[in-house]
Amino acid sequence: MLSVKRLVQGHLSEREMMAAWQEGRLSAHLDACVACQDRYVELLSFLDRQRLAALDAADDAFTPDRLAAQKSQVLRRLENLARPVRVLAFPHQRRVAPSVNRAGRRWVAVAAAAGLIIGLAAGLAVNVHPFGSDFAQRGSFTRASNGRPDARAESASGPRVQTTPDRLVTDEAFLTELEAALDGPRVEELAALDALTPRVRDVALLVR
Amino acid sequence: MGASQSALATVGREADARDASEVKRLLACGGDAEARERFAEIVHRHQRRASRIAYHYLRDVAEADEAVQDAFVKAYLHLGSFREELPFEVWFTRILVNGSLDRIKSRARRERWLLPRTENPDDGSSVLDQTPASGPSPEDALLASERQRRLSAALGQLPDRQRLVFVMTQVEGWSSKDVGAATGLNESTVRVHLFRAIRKLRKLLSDEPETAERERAVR
Repeated sequence: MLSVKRLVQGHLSEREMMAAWQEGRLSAHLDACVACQDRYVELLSFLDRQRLAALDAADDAFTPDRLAAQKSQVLRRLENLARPVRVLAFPHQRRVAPSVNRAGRRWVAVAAAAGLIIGLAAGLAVNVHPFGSDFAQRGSFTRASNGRPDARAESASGPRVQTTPDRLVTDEAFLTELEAALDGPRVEELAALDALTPRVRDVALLVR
Repeated sequence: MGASQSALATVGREADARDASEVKRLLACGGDAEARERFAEIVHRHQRRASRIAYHYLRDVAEADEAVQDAFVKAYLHLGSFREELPFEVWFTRILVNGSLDRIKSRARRERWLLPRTENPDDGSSVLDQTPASGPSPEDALLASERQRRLSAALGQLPDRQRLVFVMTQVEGWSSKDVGAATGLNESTVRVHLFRAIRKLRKLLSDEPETAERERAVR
């Protein structure tokens, strides 16, 4: 609005004035017109004042001390660039195991479970428990010794091959030998404790 | 830019070219310590000017300080890509301006999501506005401080590009061509930015006592 007014009045517009300043060349009008010269001087003065104010503001903010610190900081950073990186031992979270190990662990777990299942299945099929096959026999023997044969047990298991006490005596002898071989005190310090522990053979003798 | 300033600038550019090529040579032959010492001279020669540009562009002392440091480190690391046909200060200022622009963008993103930071809860003015001025007397100091405050406030209202162009041309005395090379702007665009910046500043500072007096006298 102001520039239009100036132009109408026959003076340089603001843009023309700025162009004259930027190019550093004074137009013929500016040479002749006192009012425009004043405006031009005022423009230069304004810019000069702002330049000084801006310089002062920046120089007050960046004091010589601050600049010295800045320079030393730059040089320190450059020096650090040349040094090899040092990794500090710092408390950190447990490292996640690589996927290969995790897969391996999984296989171990699966193998253990499979082994357990196979073992149980084999155990059921073979029935290797030393007393497993004798419980029924012992029950029928007990009842037989009372003079009352157990018809239900007999019908369920069919005719027994050997129901006489001879079989039990054989089993007991075998177990006794086995226990003597396996459970004998191997550590002298535990011998006293071992002596206090009841044996299967003692129990069997009591039963008998 | 006056004749003496121009001569100084020429001498400075020659020294820059000499130092930069020497640093490059030292780095190539493994003389890191000597290269850093030589680069320290470049830092010393440019840090004040760089700090002024960054300070007025970013309007924060600490951030400007960091931006200048980053620019020097980046310049050192990429000195191999520096070609002597471009003045070192133009090449370096381009690094500085790009870094500062990234910081402005990052700050804008932060401010979009976080609450604005008020540095002085009493009047809300920034540290930049409260920068004390040096002067021979308390009155002069007060006037200078007031002038700085008003200019800072007015500069703060300019768009980033206009502010940068104004500071580089007016405060640092760069030519439009060099400003264009450093900012990646066309020379005529630089002139337009400068024109708009000055016009807006004059409008914003028109109620300044000295300006008002002069304008009244002209009318």
